[in-house]
Amino acid sequence: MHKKRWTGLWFVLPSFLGTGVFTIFPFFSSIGYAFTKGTGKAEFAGFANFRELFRNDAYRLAVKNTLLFIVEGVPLLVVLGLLLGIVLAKWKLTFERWAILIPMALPTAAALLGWQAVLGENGPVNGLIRLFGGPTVDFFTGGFARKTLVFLFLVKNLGYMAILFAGAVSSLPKEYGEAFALDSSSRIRYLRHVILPSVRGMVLFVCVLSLMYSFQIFREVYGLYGDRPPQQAYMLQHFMNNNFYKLHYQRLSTAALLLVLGISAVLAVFLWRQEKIAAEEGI
Amino acid sequence: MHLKKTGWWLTVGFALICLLPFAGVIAGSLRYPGPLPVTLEQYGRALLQNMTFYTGFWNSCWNTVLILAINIPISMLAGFGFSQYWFPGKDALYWLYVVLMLMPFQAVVVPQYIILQKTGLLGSRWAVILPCAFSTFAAFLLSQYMKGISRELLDAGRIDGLGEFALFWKLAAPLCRPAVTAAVVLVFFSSWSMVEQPVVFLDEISRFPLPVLLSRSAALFDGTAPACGILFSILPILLYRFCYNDLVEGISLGCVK
Repeated sequence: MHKKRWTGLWFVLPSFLGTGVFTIFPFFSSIGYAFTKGTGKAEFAGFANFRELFRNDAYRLAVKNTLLFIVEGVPLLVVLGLLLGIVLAKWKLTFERWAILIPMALPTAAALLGWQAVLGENGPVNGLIRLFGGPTVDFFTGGFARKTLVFLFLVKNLGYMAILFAGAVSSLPKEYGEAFALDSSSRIRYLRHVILPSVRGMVLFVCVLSLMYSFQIFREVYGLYGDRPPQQAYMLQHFMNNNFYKLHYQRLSTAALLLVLGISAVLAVFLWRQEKIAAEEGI
Repeated sequence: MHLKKTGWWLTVGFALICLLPFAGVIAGSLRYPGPLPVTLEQYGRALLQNMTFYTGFWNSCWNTVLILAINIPISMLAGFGFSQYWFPGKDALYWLYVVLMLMPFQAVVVPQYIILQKTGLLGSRWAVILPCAFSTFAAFLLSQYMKGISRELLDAGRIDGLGEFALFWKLAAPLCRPAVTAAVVLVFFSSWSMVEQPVVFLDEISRFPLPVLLSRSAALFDGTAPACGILFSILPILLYRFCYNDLVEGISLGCVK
């Protein structure tokens, strides 16, 4: 019995050791930076780094843009993913199923070259806009920059989320749908009373994945703009990256600590909800 | 009836949008300054006259293969441990794994830099491989899937005298083939486009993977970037093509039968 107690940990151990050495231990050891001042002989600085960080304009801009991106991107991804998943669960759609996962397979660098060709000044989209008498739109550096990033984020990840939801929806018994499938108003009731309650657990899983992928938008931003993104696309990852280059380790560690605390808090709420759902469903 | 049609049309529309960037690069790769409107000149130049493409491509291959070779086995073990056993501190550890999965790389850049510097790995291939090789995403994905393995099956195995590791290797691992395939494919895609670590942990151009070169030093490619992008996409697209069924089943967390 005593041996059994730790069996699970033995399985987790190889992964835990690696993660421990390269991420967990380094992260905890860097927390000290957030509370100290000076290089060489560091002295305790209390919350001075935090106060300074909150007054930093670049940091404020980065936090604002990151939050706006998440607030615009993640809910849209989850809702559209659910709707698309319902459609996919209903029809076979072999070609569409295959096509919507292509943006995930296409390397970011290649996809960006493609998008730059499609959305660029001389691309077909601007050609269409001009055809209808509109002005040329600068999708990448103008006021549209963040909206364009949200669009790229959606196209890249929507397929994955839709397949996840399609799996959950198609596991519902068919008779449920037939009992409702008469007209469009009962279709909406079916969505609200049958589909939504049964995919609640999946929604949380999708939210966690979406949040993870939303932080990976750095790849697109870096691919498009290098180290200097336009104001609209300047996010926390760039703030931290640039402070790393400038050797502002204390400022960077303070920002990192706050970010990790934020993620942990959001996740704690998610897990608490998930346990509640699991308890209600009696699993 | 109306609603049904709309959903169908929107799906078709979205599927076409998904193919747009691909079409965009292909179209771009077939043009080169010269008399012909459509030419394979870019491909010829990329393959025959450009060393940067080769070094970048090989760096990407090596990084991806080594990351997979470390990450997938340990993630399978961890996923099995998390999904089939209880041990003291398990819930806290699992929560930590998900936090780590969500955390952007930049949040640990300083301490990782210091560790790599102390171990003398900074600037080498391992500086970008090791931090990625221990990413927790695959462990999370696999443990979600492995939750579907039935208790009865494992207990039956125990009665037949299988040890705990044999249960994992002989029963769980073969059952989870779709999820393992999905993890391999997703980690491949992600490592193939790796940008975050190389730009801070590497300094020599000869060690950079191709995506960083393509976005940072387009001048090195002498107008052949779109063709390089297409050549660079061949492996992931092939992988996608041949793993499609398992991938879709694996990521939709279809229950293990």
